Amino acid sequence: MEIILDPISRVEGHMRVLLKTEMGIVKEAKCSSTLLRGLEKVLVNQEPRKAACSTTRICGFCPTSHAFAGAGALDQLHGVDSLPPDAQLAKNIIQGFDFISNHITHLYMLWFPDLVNPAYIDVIEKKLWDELILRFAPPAYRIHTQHIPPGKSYLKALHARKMGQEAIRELAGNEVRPFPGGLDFKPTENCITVLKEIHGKVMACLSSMLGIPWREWIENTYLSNPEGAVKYLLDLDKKDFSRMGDFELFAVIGAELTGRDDNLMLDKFGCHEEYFLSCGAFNENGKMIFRPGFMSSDLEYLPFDIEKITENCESSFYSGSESHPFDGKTEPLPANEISYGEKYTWVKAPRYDGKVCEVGSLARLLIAEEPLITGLAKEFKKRRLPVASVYMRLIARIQEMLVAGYLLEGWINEFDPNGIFRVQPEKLINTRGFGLWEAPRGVLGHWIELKDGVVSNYQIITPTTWNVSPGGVMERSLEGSPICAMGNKFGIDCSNPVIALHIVRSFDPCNGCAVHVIESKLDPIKLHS
Amino acid sequence: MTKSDVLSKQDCLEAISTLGVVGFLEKYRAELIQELKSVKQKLVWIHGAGCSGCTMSFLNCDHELLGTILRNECIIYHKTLLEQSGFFLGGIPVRVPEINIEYYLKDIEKTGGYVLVVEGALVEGPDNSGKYCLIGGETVKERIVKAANKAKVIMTLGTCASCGGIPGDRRSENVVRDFPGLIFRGVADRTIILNEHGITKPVVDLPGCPPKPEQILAMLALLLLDKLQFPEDSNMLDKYLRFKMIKGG
Repeated sequence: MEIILDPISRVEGHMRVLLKTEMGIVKEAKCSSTLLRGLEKVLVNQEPRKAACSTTRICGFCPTSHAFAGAGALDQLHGVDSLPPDAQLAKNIIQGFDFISNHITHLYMLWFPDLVNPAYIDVIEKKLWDELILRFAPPAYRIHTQHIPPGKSYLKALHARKMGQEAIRELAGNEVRPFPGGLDFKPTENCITVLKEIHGKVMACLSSMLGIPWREWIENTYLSNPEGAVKYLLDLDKKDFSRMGDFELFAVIGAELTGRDDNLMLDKFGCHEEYFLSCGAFNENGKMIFRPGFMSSDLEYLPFDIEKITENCESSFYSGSESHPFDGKTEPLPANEISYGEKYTWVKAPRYDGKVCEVGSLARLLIAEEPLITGLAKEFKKRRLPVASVYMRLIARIQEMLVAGYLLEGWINEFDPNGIFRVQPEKLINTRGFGLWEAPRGVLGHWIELKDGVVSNYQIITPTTWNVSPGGVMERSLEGSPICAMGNKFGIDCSNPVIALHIVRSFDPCNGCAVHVIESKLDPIKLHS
Repeated sequence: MTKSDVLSKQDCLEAISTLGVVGFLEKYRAELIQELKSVKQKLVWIHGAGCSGCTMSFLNCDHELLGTILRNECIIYHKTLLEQSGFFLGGIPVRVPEINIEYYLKDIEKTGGYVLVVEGALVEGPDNSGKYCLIGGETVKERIVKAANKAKVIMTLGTCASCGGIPGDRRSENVVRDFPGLIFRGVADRTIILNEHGITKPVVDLPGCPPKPEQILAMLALLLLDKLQFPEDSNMLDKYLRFKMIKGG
């Protein structure tokens, strides 16, 4: 059976997925981003700062991340080796709030409504279904022509996600812009008071989403050891679910691991045996709290080496391929050749050392050896199950928000609004520069090459390019997976492949980012050698 | 306009012109919530070549007013928010509006008379084929034109929808043609592009990258609550089709 999901709702941008299934199992999956905007033509011939500024419009979800990745590249062009500690701290604070705001948006607006898919009506207990509908229903939702109002958690989250943005605005003004040598803004004197107040509110929100005071959670997970953290999570399952917080409820009913009869088996889907990649986040005095690295699905760690990143476009709507990175120029195909076949997407395929990698919260926390996520990963390994799954991706996102919230508390206390936020950058002294940044969705890299003081090549590899690329982890996760609720246990209904949708959305794909820039004559290896 | 209106058109316009959009939303908050609760107008929100930044800005507006709009039974079509996706089985669309967003949109389009919000540029490239953006097997150009044909009023949200914005920001003339706005190709050329596609419905422009949350909310409220009606109120638009009191930016 050939199933086409087009357009996929509740993801950023335009996305299409083709599934070829047999007996309700996906045999072949092809994920396409279906819009080309081609920003590179805007960036070329611009002054580098202006070009980096334009990249913040690649994506409406994560403009801040693009600004900081661009700033990293500008730093190198201007010969700035290290930023003042105060600037680094401000960046951490912004990144922390950005993670929280983005993850809330993903969880509540984009993913949790998946749990009220009509496929679950007759499959799960009525009491649980009513609970899910009450919490997570999206707007304008109808079942059997009956209007269902948006869930109460959904409406609350609208407010919560906004607070993270407000904190960033308090610190950086209306928007964050890339600037070489630090920040282009000076925080106001009283920003600490406001930041503390917002942080308090955000954490109160997270506690109520969690159903447990956040400090208690952090003490038992992030500040504990892997075994202890997993035990804590599994022991949560003592209460009646109507009294649980949203995250607690998901943690308990999401996975078969918890052993409940009414679990949704989400730890069994969206699995792959590929690799994980992170470029490191939260720089504290030159040391990354989330360390950079490359990890296999057997949890073997290797240091991160930027030289190993390459890209190819064999299956994308471009002419040119990896075999001719230096002389071939990649151009979008002419109109008559754009149709779904051998080539089927506008996303290119980045690889690390030739390997397919997953990026995002799960990769970051696995590589950082965060106790809860590492503990769960080991638990799954012990049961001979893959580490990556829909459940793990969501739990990682939840955990990352809480850890970021915990770290933010220290940073805000430490923050001095009268500190030094920039070094005077030198004139443009280099012609090549790159910047790496952990966006909420994963590794983001900007590479700039100059000629006569203007941009001759601006290349960007975004998180979604890694995850959604042809042959990438999303396709690998779909292949071999059942398509219907609870792994087809209750029959196969090809007209509503709910598990496939869970898997696609669990990566939080951001197609606006992924298809944005067509690179060029050079590959990244040459750019920074 | 009916007599039961809690808030008169005059009040709205006066408040916006004297207090600005923020003041307007603050002053008439309770009244707006009450009216928005029972509004029957449908809202269709279509994405062209854009970054969803305008959607994010929209989600950043006053959460109580926003919640009221989202809680309303009136039909909203918005790809980033809805439960359903597009489904094709063996090439044929699944005919259940509860599951298939495509079918759901067709249902709304059949009745027509909705407020259409377009975010992102119209995609005409390459070579006028529109294939740089395909959704549900058709080009986004076809989708926007189809939806615009049945709309009561069209609101072009953000600079991309208005004149091409970021994707349309090109030096070379032939690339500008690939990603025009719905209204203008650029500042110099003032032909309304929707007219070229045979659309004569009233258009209100709200440019900005992105427009402020309050501006989006106030503008949407005016349109959903019929406080602005066309062609009667056409004189309230300037020569670039922006509502004179909320110009965006």
